[in-house]
Amino acid sequence: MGDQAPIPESYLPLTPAVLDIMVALGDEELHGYAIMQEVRRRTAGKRRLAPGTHYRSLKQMEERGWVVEAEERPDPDLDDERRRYYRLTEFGRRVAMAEVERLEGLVDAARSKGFIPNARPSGAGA
Amino acid sequence: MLLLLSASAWLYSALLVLYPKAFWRRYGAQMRRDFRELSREGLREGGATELVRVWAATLSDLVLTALMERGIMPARNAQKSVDPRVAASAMVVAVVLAAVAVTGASLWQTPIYEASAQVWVDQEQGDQQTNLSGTVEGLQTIILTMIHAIDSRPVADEAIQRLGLQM
Repeated sequence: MGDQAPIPESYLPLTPAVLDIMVALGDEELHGYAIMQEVRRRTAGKRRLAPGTHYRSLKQMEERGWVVEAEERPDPDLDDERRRYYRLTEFGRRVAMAEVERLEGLVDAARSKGFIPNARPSGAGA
Repeated sequence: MLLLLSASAWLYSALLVLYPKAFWRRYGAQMRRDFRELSREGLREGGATELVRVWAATLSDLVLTALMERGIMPARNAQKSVDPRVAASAMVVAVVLAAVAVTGASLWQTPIYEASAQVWVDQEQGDQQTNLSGTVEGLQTIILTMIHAIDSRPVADEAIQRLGLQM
């Protein structure tokens, strides 16, 4: 019973902070502050992760095996300081993909009901 | 500015004790470092106003997440559906804690008093003695010193009285 692999869908929906972190780690290993900067940059400053939410989310993600800590290395911007880098695991990626798929379905449904400005409801013609 | 950043970082470090011990042992150093970076960046980009915004966002987030980590507040999606009364209480707690930390820090620090004294020595050259007050420069220096002494007298008196020094 305990050997069964957890189903990614069983963790959905994810919190916005967790999905933000997963997307930031999608193609590279980053340290905590770089993740926060990446989220801010990607959303043009609309979303900012505060340290409490950020590290609490990382803690949950580590516990669930969605991210792992990569080896410590010096921050190129800060000569002597060593940073902890985080990496998305394969399972974490599957959970993120399941969440994105869920959101995609939601966005499609919203679009079809005219919730998205400048978008025609589906079936109303090309 | 550097002092403001240091004080800000110190206060944030002190408030991290609100988290359970295991949490701040694991993430405390990273959170401190990131907060320092956030403050530095905020100060650079928007001055003191932006630093206040960083503080406001960080402080409310710190209290709410600390309550969640301690199991006092339901965790799942808590940030999206926080009861405004709970959020307001959290802010009040945060402000009180910050005030207590600042007051504690100011009481804990021992004041340092500094004093200096100038000793004027006449120079004797052979059998001829040069009187410092006899030259224009010497006279000016003595007058300036007297003015400083008069100006600083009330401060000195207060320090002597508070420390109970025998003069």
